[in-house]
Amino acid sequence: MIEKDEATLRAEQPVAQSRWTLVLSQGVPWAAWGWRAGLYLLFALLVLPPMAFVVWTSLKQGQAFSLAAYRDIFQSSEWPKLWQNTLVFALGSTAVAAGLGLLMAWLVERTDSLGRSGAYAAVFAGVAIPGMIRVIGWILLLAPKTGVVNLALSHWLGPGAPSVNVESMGGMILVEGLFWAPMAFLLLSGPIRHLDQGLEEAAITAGAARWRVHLLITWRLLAPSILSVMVLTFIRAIQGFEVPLFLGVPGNVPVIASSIYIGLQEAFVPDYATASAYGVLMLAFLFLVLGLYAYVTRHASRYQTVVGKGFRYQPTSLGRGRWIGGAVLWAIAVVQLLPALYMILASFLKTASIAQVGDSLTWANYQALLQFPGIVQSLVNSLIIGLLTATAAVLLALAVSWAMRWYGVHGLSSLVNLPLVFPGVVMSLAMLVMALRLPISLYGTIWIFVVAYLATFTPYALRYTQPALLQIHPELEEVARTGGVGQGVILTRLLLPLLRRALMGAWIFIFLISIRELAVASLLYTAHTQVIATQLLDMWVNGNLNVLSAFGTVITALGVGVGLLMWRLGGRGVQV
Amino acid sequence: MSAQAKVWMGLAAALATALTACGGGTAAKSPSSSSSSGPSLPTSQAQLVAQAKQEGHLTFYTSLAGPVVGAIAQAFEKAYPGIKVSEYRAQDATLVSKALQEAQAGKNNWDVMETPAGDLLILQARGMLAPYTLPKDAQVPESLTWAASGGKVYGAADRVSYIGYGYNKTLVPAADVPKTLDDLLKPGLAGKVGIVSSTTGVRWVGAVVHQLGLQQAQAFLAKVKAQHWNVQSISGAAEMDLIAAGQLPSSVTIFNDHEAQQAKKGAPVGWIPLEPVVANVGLVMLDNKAPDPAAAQLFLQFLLGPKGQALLSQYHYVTPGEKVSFQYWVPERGITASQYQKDYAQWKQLFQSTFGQG
Repeated sequence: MIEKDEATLRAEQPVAQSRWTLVLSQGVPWAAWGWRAGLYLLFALLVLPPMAFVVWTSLKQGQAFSLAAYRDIFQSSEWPKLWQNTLVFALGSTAVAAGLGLLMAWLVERTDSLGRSGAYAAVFAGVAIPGMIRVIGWILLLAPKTGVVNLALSHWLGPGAPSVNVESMGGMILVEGLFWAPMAFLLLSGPIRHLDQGLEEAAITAGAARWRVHLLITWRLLAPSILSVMVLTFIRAIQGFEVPLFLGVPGNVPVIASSIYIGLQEAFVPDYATASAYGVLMLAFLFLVLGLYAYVTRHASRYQTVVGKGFRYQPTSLGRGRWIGGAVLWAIAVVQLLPALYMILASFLKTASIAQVGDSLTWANYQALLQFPGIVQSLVNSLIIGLLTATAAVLLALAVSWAMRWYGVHGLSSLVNLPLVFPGVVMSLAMLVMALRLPISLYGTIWIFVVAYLATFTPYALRYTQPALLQIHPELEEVARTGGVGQGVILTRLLLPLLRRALMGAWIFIFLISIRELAVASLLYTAHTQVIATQLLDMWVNGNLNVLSAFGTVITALGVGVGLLMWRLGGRGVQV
Repeated sequence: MSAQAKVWMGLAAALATALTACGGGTAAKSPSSSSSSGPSLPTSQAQLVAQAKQEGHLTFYTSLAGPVVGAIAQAFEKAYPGIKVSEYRAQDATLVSKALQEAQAGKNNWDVMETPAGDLLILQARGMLAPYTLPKDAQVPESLTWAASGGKVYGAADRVSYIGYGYNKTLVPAADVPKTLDDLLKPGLAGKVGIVSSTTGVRWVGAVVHQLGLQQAQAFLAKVKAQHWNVQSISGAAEMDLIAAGQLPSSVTIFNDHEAQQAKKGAPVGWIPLEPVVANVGLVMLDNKAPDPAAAQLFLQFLLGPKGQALLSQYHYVTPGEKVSFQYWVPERGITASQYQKDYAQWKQLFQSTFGQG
């Protein structure tokens, strides 16, 4: 008889299984569907009641139901202008973002332009620097009477000097377009990169003029991708909050999103019915846009750019234009960074809103920041909310992705992704009216933020976990199960190590957007539950520009640090 | 979607709908409209201070702007160590909106509120204020209190701020400084006047209506529209900062105290009580469900007493006992909450049609 040593004996022991994993691996029905049912229920509770409350509130006038709120909106003299402003703003921003994104993607993927890293610098700026900081930075630079650029022009050219007014529809379109240009670039890079030039070359060889080749082949093949980017940007612009609030309100360019906020915050007695009616109208319009998009792109498979054979890629030579291409890419990056850079400078000046030659730098603004009431509390609140939201969102997204993989629960995916259509301020309003009605103590606590953010940001976490899980062949799990390994061990010892990078990337991204998010937080905070974004907003409203510049710089530094971490983990494919 | 998934979706939606219906059917937790006598507090000052220190905290909501807010909090904390003051500053409409939401959610956050009387009217109508006895050392004339029953008050003024015309002396020549409303229409002031879009700006429009009557006010504001005034979504104090820094020549929504603070720092600024002058009577109010009632009582004693009044004077606020040489108008005096809201809505509409925002 061969004696076995202790290590061999240990290795031959079956893997210890908990009762729970035994149950799961044996596929006991109630356990197998119980957790899926739990996921459905959880997301139904996160997503559906807020939407239902918004609709319900819009129809409630006192104790009766009526359409009075909608009637008042449509009969109001402000409605045509509001609607027109919203559409013009969204369409204009879409054109700018898609145009810039397409230009960047073309220069990077199809030409030998120099300075291609400038495009990725622009992407990084978009991820790392909070939107509110960029908008306020633009105001400090280009406000009509007080912006430093306009003051400089007036100083050099006299009282009749032209001025650039960022608080206008044009300014709003440009700033919002710049916000989304990096995203458009990332989304268009892939299709442009994979476009088979063989099709174009064949057409040229057959005698087609170059302009006809581009018009009838190149752009037609790219049309679905471009349309997709434009629809996504259009939806984001309709949902936009910071630009309409900070630029549109002072510039007399109200849009629906800012009207919801102003109507509640600056009325003595909030009119929830009207605000909710605006929210419902926004949601209905966005669902219509998505439906139209789905109809228009139903034959998108005809325009596949990636083919299986004979793929040739040859960048177009720009000759001396390579330098111009590089200059364009870096100019876009600099424009993205400029507002934040000026804010950093302003944080060291005595008066944050101007920069005069000879002003000495000072730390006074940072000293004032340390003593500003509620600063520490807002930072602590944001960190806690960010930690809880990121952790919960990633775990839930992983569970949903796994359920989709093995049980095909695409309905669950639709439920989870539904809040992508919600404008942030409408989600905020929905959570507010729900919290005021339900007999649970949510309002006035940080938990209302966690619930709202979980509903809003889990779809973003899903964009990390789902593709990552898809890359792991199911065979790995099947083999492990066949060998008698329990589900818990499969998850912890097999899947998690392989998914670690994606999960960390998702966690950091959700954490980053949670701590700087404004629209959802805008109606939910109280004096004791301030977060970073609402603290910045209050500083702005109260005119504390010096302290705001210092605080904005601190937040930007935090965002850059976290953004660098994401960049290191995810490489150039960082999603915004 | 598989049949099983449809079943789960349906069940989840049904449960969510049921939850919504329960919450929707539940009457909103409206604050009671009946009057309240407020929390019972110790009768002796020593016991009051002891209870306040035990509470250890109070929340102060105010529409006061500028460094005075922090100064008040620090001075109180120094006078009563162990009681931390959390101050929250916003415009008066936002404060009332937040207070109403918090009460509806059963989360009374604030202990003491100091804002103009419009907020008092609305909160009192909803039974959210606790009446209190005026401190013995408070020198507040009866005309600047809002009476409750039993010799108590719902609010007493700790300061009066006057809205007038503030300007930068280097940017607005003396000859262009307006002396009447019509002087604002002079060509020399075109593009040189600002107005804030907050409650302060709306109240200024209300003052114009009060002075001229509605029709004439509309005609006047139509002419103002052609003067291309600069509208700012900031507080009056912040706008005064811009004037002092030379970035804005002048504004019709400047408080006398903010101008005095800048003048003391050496800024080339001036202020005139351009009629109609609106008086923002800052009233001190107590929440009848204050989380820290003893600390709140102590705070209002401080604010209305000699120390608080001296501090406000230091920041150039006119205290209730002081008289001024010009005529002013208190919009909230003698009207009900619903009338004030109706008037405010009318002024806001006029503001929006003239300046496009607010």
